[in-house]
Amino acid sequence: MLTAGVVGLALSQGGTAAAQQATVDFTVSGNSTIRGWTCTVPGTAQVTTGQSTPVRGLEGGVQTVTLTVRVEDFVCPDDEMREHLLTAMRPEEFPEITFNLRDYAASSQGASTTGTLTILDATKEVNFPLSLTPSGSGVRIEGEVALDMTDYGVEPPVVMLGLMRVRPRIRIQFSGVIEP
Amino acid sequence: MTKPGSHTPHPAQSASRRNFFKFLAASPLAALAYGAVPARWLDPVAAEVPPPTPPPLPCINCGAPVLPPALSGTSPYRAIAPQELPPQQAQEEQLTGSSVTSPGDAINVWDFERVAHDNLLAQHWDYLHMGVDDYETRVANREGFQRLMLRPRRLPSQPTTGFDTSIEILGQRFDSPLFLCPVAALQAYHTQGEAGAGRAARRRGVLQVQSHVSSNSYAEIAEARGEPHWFQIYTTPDWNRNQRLIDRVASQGCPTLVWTIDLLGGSNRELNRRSLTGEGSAAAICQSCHNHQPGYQRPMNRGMEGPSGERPPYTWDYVRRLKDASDMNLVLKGIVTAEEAELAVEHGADAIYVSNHGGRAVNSLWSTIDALPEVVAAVRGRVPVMIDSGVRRGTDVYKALALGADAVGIGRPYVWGLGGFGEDGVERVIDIIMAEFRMVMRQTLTTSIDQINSRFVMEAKNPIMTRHNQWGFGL
Repeated sequence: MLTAGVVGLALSQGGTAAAQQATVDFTVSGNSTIRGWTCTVPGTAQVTTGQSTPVRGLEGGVQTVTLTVRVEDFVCPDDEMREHLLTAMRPEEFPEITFNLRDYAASSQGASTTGTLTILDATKEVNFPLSLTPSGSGVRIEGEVALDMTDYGVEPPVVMLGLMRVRPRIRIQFSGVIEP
Repeated sequence: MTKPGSHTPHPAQSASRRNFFKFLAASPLAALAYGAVPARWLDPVAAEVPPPTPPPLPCINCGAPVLPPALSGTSPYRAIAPQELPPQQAQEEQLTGSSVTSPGDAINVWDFERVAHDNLLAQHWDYLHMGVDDYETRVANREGFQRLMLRPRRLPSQPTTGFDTSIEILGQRFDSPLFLCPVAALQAYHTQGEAGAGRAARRRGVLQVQSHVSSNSYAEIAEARGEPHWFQIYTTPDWNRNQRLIDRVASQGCPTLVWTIDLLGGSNRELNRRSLTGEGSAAAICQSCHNHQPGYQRPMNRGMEGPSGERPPYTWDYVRRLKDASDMNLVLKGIVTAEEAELAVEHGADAIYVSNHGGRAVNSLWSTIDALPEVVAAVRGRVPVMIDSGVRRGTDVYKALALGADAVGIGRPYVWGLGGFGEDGVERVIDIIMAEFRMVMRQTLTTSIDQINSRFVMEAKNPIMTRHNQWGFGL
């Protein structure tokens, strides 16, 4: 967890900006009426550095963060699960899930992030802890958010005439290293 | 009849609040509690229940029941209508578990029991939850631990230095005395299965013993874990088939084979039978998920076909035969008596695993923690002694180590964690139990495992069981 003084990250308003991109691993977990499940998907973190408090590896501080995953890239425990997921996520219409950072506040208790999450055609504000910690020569970005997929208009898969239902509550975790 | 979504109700879902207040009002501990809880919480109790005469403090070895009669359902106190009770959710959840939404929110392992119960298919839950017959052995396992009291130390003669929870067993070093017991078919609880549990165990430096009837193969788990783990075998009458399986896991780097001998005579799993045959047992979906097509076999039974061989009887000579079948260490799982511990060592067992299969094999067994001292005495330090069945707390781990165990296993708790949150849940279960364990070590001024001995425990006549154990929850 990020603590003020360790990283001292802040959003800047203006200044010279430079974009850096990193591969971020996303894990999406939930439950069904049978068992728990986990799918994974590689995504990207687009970080724009700018004039703000320097971070090791991100000398200009952070101005914007955009997390993006391609729905088609989801990997699930079996093909059938993935098929149900894609049916629910309609990638032909909405190929990506995106998160745009809007605000970031660090404190001794950790760091809180506010931004907008877009799934299908619904964009909603979400708030979750985000961690940016030095890792090797870069900065590890990690976070976790829980949400109800029905809030975004995603119909939880129902299989075998309702014998198996995916529960709407899911957890999304992500982790990756932004190299300078 | 059992049907999905309406299976075994959790006590918390059955208005146990009333019982809790009955318990509170009648408990000998109430005299202590009255001085410690908010007055607003006690007012409704006082209005409904005559204040009990202050009883003497609970006497550990006096032979008197520690729990009040209120919990037996014969309380003389008038029932309190639920709507009159104050909203003391935390008090209730402490004794029943809370259905947390993130593994980090769990306070103890029973929170994961709630989550797993709430989420899993009824038949899967029932399979995990069941004890044979009427769960007496499951209850005995918990009572065994809860009859043991700790004898802490308060101040050291010299400042303590260092703190080490690591153990070495059969040539391997682990960060913790805890290990994950073999539990069947973990993908019934989460798609990550044994591989997910293995990743969590590896991150926490914990030994994992794979079940013969696992959902993932040995190779898959070892790959996920990044190192070989132990394998538990249910032998078949055909020796050649056993040899092929032994050769397979040995060739994949398995260092230790664990032979389960506590199910050779079968088991009476009544809840399982009710669950699988009851109305609404979801046969269609069971058939779908279990792939009950002709020829289906679990991963560790695949590719084991070949010429049949001898059918040697299961006698003590079989132990030597298994031992000689590979270079792996051989552990005997299911020993609960001194006589058999002695025989096991004589016949070449490299470790003794005290277990009653989590109360899933034979009913009316004594608890494993009760059996442990005589097994340890019989073994006389010649081989390591492991134990499982009923371990839920760091104090349980400590008590088992104090009575001579070298490693202490958990079964259901990590599967509850897995069912709720996958490998993150398993990791959190390990963290919770180890945090509790480390605190007990600090409270007893023991800074390494070898300092923990029987001087730190004492036996009471009666177990102090405080959790609600209706329908087997909280055990």
